[in-house]
Amino acid sequence: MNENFTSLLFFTILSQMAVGTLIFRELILLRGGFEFISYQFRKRSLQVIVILLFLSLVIAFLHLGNPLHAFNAIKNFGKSWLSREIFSLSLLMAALLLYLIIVLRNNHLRTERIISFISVMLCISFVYSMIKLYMIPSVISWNNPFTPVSFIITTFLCGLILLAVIIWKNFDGFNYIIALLTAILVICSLANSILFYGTFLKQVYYLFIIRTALSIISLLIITVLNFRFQSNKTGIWWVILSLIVVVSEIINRYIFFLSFEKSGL
Amino acid sequence: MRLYAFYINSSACSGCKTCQAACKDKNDLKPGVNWRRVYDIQGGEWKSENGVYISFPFAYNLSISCFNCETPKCVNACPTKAIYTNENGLIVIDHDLCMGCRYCEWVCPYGAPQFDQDLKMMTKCNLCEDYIIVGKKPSCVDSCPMRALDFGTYDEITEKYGTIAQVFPLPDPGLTGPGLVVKPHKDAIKANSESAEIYVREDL
Repeated sequence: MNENFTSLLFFTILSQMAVGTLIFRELILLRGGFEFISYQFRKRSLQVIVILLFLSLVIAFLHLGNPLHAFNAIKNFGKSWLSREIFSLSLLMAALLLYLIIVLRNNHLRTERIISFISVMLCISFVYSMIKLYMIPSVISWNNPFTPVSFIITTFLCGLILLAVIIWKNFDGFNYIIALLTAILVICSLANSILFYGTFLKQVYYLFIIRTALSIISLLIITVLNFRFQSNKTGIWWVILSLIVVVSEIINRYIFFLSFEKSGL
Repeated sequence: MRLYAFYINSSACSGCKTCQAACKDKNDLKPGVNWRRVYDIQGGEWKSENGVYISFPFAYNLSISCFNCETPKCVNACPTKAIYTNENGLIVIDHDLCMGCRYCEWVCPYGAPQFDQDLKMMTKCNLCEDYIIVGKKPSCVDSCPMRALDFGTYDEITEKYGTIAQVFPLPDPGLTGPGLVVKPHKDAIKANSESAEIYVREDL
């Protein structure tokens, strides 16, 4: 794996995590009603998402040979999925900054709802563009259904687990649902990678063993959390769980980039 | 429409890499940047005959560069429009636009776009544009001691040599429509069934 892949690995994981967190955040707001959800949650969660997305954007710049020319990156919007991805990401970043300003002012719930809807649409556009740009016909190891499934699972899994870390104190009622969803996504993620690795598994068996072990530990922690929902000491467990899940997803993405194999030359 | 085409006679190619050296010399390419690359393909198997195992090895070479494709993946994929088809019908790179994202390197099934570590941008074969506009052939073609390479308009080349553009390990020509005609080596037919591989990749 060259340096080009290293920054892309962290860019894809962090940006998908930010997008997933935002999608679940908006679902919670939609379910609970914007006006009934605490201001602290609305503010803090959005700050984390903006910081994360900004960080991913900075990392994305690191893989460019000539970042000074990056302002040309949306010129081929009509044909290039990479252009569309960068365009969606730029719009999403702008929308989120506007969203944050509105939330910090805390007096425009109607505008908040509108910008929330726009941001979610941009998230979907961003993830879709990212999927399309990695499904390259000449890269046989990526041009298959496991790529979109992997990206979507990472988005939801990392997003959900980060949101759990942010809200574990505020939303006891949600903890059970979040824990259950996390467990399902952990299992789906592992199953998808087993199918994806296929014959490639022989070369990365040691990484696969680590990833399986991390997934089992994640499921055990979720089981522990299941019995401690009423306790006010679950915070540390959510943090540990989130770290394990993210490391496991990073390993998965590392294997994804490692599997890069072109048809032809 | 495919404007130009290369002809590669894989039967005649000895793998001497003179074309690769001529290209590097003409275009002043740095180490690690090879607009033309000579691939060494080898394979074979052991067969049992009357209780005796006999080896049947084979090897051949393919000299590969940019084939100025009809539907170039690099042009469509480039986010900055740095890769474009110029007024002479050649696919070239504008270094005032390239941001060095290397996406074209991923999408090209022929490995034509090459990253220049000093420039921090992509570079690629321009089919020796300065030569062909004055009616000369690219330096790789004229340098070949085996006369295994030829170049011309697509119509000329296909009329002279036919239309075969696929031999192991080249991709399906339907993917990009390359300006390429190959005369396969006699053993190339074995390559798909007898676990042929590209050897000495570090030389490429």
